[in-house]
Amino acid sequence: MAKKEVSYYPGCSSQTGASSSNMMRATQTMCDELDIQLNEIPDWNCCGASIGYGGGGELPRLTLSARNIALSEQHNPGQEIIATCAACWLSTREAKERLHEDANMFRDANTALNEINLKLNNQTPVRHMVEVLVEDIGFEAIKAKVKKPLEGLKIASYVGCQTNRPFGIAEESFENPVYLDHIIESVGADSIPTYEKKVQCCGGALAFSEPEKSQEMIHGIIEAAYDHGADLIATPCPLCQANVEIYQDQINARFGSKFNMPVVYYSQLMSVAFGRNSKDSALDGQIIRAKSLEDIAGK
Amino acid sequence: MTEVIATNQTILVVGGGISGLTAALEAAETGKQVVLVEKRPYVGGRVTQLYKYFPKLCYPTCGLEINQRRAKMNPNLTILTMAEVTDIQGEAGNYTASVKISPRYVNDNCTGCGDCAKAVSAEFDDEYNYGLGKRKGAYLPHRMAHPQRYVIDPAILGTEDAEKAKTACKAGAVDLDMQEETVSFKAGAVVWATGWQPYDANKIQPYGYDRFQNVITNVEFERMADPNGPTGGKIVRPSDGEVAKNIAFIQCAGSRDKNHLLHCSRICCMATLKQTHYVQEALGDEGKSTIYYIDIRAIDRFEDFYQTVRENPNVSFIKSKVASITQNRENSNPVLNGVDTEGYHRYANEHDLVVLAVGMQPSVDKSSFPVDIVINEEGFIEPATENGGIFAAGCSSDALDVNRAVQQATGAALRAIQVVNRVAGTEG
Repeated sequence: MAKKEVSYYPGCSSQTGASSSNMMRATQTMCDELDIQLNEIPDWNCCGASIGYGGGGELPRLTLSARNIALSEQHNPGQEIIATCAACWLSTREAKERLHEDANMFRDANTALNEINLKLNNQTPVRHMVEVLVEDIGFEAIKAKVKKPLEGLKIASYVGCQTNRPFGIAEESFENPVYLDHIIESVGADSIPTYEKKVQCCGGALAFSEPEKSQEMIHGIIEAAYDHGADLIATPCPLCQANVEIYQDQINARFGSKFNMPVVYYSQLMSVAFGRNSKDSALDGQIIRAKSLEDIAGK
Repeated sequence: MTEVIATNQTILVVGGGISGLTAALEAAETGKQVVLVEKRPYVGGRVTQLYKYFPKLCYPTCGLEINQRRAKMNPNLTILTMAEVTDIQGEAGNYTASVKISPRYVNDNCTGCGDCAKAVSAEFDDEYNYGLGKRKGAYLPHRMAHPQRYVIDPAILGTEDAEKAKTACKAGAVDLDMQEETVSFKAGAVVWATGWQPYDANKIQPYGYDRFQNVITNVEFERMADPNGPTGGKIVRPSDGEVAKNIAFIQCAGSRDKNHLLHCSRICCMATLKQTHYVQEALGDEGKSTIYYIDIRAIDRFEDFYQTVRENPNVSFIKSKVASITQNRENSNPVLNGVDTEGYHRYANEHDLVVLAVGMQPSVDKSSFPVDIVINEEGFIEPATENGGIFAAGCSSDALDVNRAVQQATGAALRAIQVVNRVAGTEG
């Protein structure tokens, strides 16, 4: 297979030293195995994420991502932008589509970018890594790469909202997306097709400001996974991962539960299944250790 | 080889449901030559799949029986079943239609005895029951099917079953060598009556039709209530076969929604009010119906029917568009989540069974329509002069109940008659 070169940027939560830098490490490992070369966009900036909606207005918010697209077009010409973070994907794709539809906004964004000698052509496709896996590589090819199948593990696929709405993965149901189940099965583990909290809100940024409400929702996400006999929860989203993993102590105190459920990224599952060690698979980045994955990686 | 004798004074009717059948009979009974083309192996369409009509709660079989008898008696009417129009060329007063006829593998020697069905064993999903039950590979689509002639499913060709069916037939009616054929003939005018289909409930994702067994559609509920249906008239939960006593009906499931169908499908309010009678009839005071609705559209003479249901203490109404359905894992009960707009209360109501009152999607496909035609944004055929000698009847023209579809079809027949009379006048 010829090496696939793509343009990307890690985004704030996955950059070195940040909470989900382990996602980036596992993504890098997964991409090495799948012959995908990730070319970082130089001097990338914040995508705006959810706070971009809070203030500043539409043009500044869209121009933030427009700058990333313009930089990509300049430095990584001809390469698709592949987002590894769910929020980056939403913001970048939204910016691309809105600036495509609205000629005035496109002109205004370019006026702003011109101040820093950048020009946006807006001809670059913006996709999520999951789309590359599902559409370009395919489940069969993933299966063929597996060296250590994750046999005996039951994994709840927690998709969350950002890779699901409003764009979603083509052909998937918004209420019951199944691509993550397919990935889980491709690496030899058991999925839980009837896991009912797949697209439940994790609270997002409200985990800080409204902990009571967020933790009630997160409680449901974890409880349902236990009810189905899950060993792990897997997710594509850094914020979902953080919210569902790190508040388990507080949730246990609040609800009298005894949760100790590892929450990992699909890229970690794939890295382990492709035969890579715990470190490459970024299992050392867990707060709740994924012992079962470590065991397989250590074999 | 099928032979169709037709001239440009012939009226072609496309679709043999209640509207097409009505238009064809009305025209034929004025002495016009009519060819009726029907895709299914029998005429009557979706009306044959209804248990009862509203508002009189009488049986559709009654009206169908009359229409089928009219059809048998009329020498001016030719019915082609398992047939589809693939092309229409020409203009008002001078059309040429091409019709593809699929092999039935049973010729008109068939006496309807059913020996072929007894002889075969493989089973398939029963289309007539919307897949709720099974049928054999040699089958009569339903008890009152017209023509009363069996059908061999092409899936059994080349298997032992096909030979068994052939051997079992004493009338020599099973012909396994029958081939698909295409016939073309003339027509002066066309009545287009391809009807409707239930809106695909899988597309209304928050309601989980694709993942919760105890969420069904109103057309499936009709089959369930029918004593000749797949459950023998018992209203049961698909998950465990238990009797469903606490039933929710969700109105506007796919209708009046910019994500789905823009239009009001007009029939669903009355269909649900009717179906609460089925619950009452089957379960008495044990059966409870809850209707979740935006507003109830029971127009003019239907108001009395609505008021009667309102007075039934076993039926309650919640003014709310249900936001989502989740499932109680313990008992597979659907849980309806939303806000009751009368008082603005949030609810999470558990029911035994949910019936989605799905809307009417027109089965007119502009992209594959054989000629240029004016279709409105809802997908129905407009009564436009640009359509020439092609006139929509019934649910090809709008979302209509049976009563209004039949009236509309009679009007369409008159339009078609006017065209062929004009042709007759010029040809003198």
